[in-house]
Amino acid sequence: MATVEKTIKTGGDYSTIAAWEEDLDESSIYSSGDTAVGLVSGDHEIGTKITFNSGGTVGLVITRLSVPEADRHDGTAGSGVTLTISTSSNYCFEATNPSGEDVRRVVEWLEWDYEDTDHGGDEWISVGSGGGSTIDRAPVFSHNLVHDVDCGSNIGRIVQVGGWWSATHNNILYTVRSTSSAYCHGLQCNERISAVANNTVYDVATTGSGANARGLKINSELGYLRCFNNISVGTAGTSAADWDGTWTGSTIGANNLSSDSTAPGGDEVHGEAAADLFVSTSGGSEDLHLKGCAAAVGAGADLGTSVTVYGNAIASSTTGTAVNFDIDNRDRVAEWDTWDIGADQRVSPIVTKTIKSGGDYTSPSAWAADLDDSSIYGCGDTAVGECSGEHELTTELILNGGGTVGLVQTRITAPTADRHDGTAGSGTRWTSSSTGTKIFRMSHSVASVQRTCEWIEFDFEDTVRSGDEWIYITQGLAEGTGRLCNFSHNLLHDMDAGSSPCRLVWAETYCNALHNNIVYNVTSTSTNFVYGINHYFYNSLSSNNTVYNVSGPDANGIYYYSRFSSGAYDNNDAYNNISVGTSGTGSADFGGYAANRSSNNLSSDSSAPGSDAVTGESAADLFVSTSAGSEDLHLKSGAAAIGAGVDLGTSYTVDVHGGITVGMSRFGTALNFDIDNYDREDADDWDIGADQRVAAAASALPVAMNTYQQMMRGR
Amino acid sequence: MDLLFRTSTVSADPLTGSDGDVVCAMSCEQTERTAARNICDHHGFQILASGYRDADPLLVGFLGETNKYRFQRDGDRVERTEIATGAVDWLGSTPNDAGESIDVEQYIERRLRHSGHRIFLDAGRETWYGGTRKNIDWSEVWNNIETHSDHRRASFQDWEFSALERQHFGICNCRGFRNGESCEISHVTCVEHSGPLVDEAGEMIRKARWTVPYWDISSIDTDQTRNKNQEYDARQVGDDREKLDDLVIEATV
Repeated sequence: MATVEKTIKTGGDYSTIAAWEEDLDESSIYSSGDTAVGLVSGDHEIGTKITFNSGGTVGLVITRLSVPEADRHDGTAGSGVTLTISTSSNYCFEATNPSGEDVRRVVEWLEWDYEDTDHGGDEWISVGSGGGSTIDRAPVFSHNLVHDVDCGSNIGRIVQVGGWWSATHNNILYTVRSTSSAYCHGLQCNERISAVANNTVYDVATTGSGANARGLKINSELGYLRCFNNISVGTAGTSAADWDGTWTGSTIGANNLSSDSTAPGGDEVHGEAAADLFVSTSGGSEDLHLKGCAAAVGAGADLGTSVTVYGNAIASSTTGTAVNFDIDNRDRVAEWDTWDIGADQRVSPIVTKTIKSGGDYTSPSAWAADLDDSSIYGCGDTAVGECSGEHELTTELILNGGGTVGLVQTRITAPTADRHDGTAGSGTRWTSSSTGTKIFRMSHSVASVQRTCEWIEFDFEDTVRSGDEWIYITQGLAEGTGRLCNFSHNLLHDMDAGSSPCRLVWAETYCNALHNNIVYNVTSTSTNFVYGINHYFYNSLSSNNTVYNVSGPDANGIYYYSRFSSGAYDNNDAYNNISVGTSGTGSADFGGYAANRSSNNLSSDSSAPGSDAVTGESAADLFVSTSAGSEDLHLKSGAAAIGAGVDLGTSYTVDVHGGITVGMSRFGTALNFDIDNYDREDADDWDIGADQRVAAAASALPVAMNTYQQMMRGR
Repeated sequence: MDLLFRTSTVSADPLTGSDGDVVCAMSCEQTERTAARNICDHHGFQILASGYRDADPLLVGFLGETNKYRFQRDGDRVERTEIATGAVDWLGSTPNDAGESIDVEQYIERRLRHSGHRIFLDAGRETWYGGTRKNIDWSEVWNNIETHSDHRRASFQDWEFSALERQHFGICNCRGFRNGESCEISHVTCVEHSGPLVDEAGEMIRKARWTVPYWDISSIDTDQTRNKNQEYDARQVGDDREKLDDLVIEATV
């Protein structure tokens, strides 16, 4: 059973779609059980109906009309392969099966341009006509762009999909006109046991007396229909509705959107105007991608890589481009997207500003203060501040802006060339002369903006100031990915809190990820609390952190706290953390409530939580250097932490309260990258702690210093 | 009119293909249009270091003749010109009376990301074309092509069939005959001589309405036509072409 590809273009295997289609029963090309793929390039005229029904005699299982990736449209007219439609019959295209033949028909990635001309027929695209109650006939119509249809006085069902287990997904259909007094439908699904997902339909209009115009028409009374994440807006006429259909108990729909109040199912969105959703509704330059902060953004349901209907998975990669790929071929699943409604999965534009002498901003505070400037940022943007050099924080730096302008994420980081190597003075460095309680706060109590801080060295210079000088991570008391905080790959050291209580990194929020940080030399004489890292709320992850030398009464290198003393929600998940060398009366390397799910942590005492813990290891046996002033907490050869960690992959899902996934690359440097930016996925086994020891590095030639290292060496 | 027809029967089911069935019928008009589109395909024009498409007059001229509008950015607004009439309107983020709006910065930024974009820089302004142009004057299109390239319309009168098509199908051509003289067959007539046979309800009853009884046509070698291991093109030139009515007949169910 082979997949046989043929090109359809001038100079290709076939010059027309019809010729390719006619040859589908050619036994010199195809064998029983094969999949036939026709790859269309260039522009083609469809002047007469194409009947896509061959291949059953030779025994093909799938026939797929598609477009090579390099030639696919970008969701707008004229950008890919265009079929110019000028048929005068009722159908311009019909994908069907003769009686007794079971071949799955797939039509994808084509632009169907009707040229706003009444050719005299109804001009339907019919996929899966003739019904069929077997998965072996299940049709697919996906990633197509259909537009500018003038039905004249004829009825219109511009895209009509039938057949059990049909899948209609990720299509864009716009501008359909009819003067029929009967009806005009944009997209119509005629069958039970089907999936209609992530389609965008706009501007279906009739002017016929008594006619009803429907953007999306679902004949769901037959049951078992799955209808998710579809947009239908801008339907107009004497009797117009964006949606129409009857839902039965076995039909499931949710996360659909309309400009009127007809979008069905749960989590529906009503009352959204096209102008508020789409980049452009201007005739001739239509672009139905989503604007920043459109109501459809993030409002969809996660469908995974297929839709299961009546026991069968459809809209999957088995037949063609799967449902998780949007109109731009972006993989919503691989990119960890929160699904949008409609064919487009919006990608947050990244606006990067430099923070350094001579840069866009000269201080982190100035950058942070400008996060709601609408002349810089648009709704839905991601703001990245790349910080280089040394910066002194004279007052608390509050990273809480961006909610007004509608940012989805703010990220402060160091450019790759200026990142530390896990030791003091080797990269971007912040010091503090603040006397406040906190020197750095990531928070927002109202809007949902994701926060990331990474690759910064926080040097507290072993100087007592009057405040506690915490790194304070809070997003207010609300859950959800929109408020997620990511604090990673930072180097924090030499904190002397004097007699004040101290929690050097305090994560008082749901949904955060603290990973791959190094914390050392924290001291206080307070009898209240002394913590290196304090994880305060649930739905959070701490992984691969290294904490050393936290001292004080009842001190803990890493402390886990749950708001619910019953322990019911104490799911601060903790993996692969090192906490050693904690000292002081009543102190312990790890403290607080045991993390709900934890393993492979390491301590010098017996307090490491969870399974596969490593205990009784001294700092001297673990680290390259614990010498004051030359601390290097990379793992030395033979350290017990080597190979003793658990493989966390490239992300982590905190499984309680909605399955929030944290630590992945969408929020910055992912959790599989260590303090040297080495990808642990390249290693055989994960180490415990922030460093993944790479044996070859011990004998490697010195690498070129980054710009900051050069400057520091010159001190 | 160039014809592609079947040279074997799939099965007894009339909804599958039968020997002689017309698969495609291409008019000279369609052949010329296709050639023009291929010559002026924007993918064949480079993207400059600036990221914009090269405003080659061949390409720009083609787009100007085949699109309804020219769009030019002016800050956060867009000037839309209807090419045929010169009428101008302005678009922006606030919907106009027709409900049209555009976020031009996002629109352009998205286009420029795609290798198939058609955004030019004209006097410092981003410029593009769009919208359906009805009644395209293909003579003007070819004037533009012949002015800005070495391609000649007269060289593109015969459909360029592929090697596989020449092996697996029959290929021939025909002429019209009116008032005692040969003539080219119109596109409308070509369209009428292809496609399925449908009943009064519009349901297909036979895969192809028309057939070429090539085995009875002297200018077509039957054996060569049926040999799928050999390329064969039976097209003739001038009046050596068969007449349409002698070549193509309605199929029987």
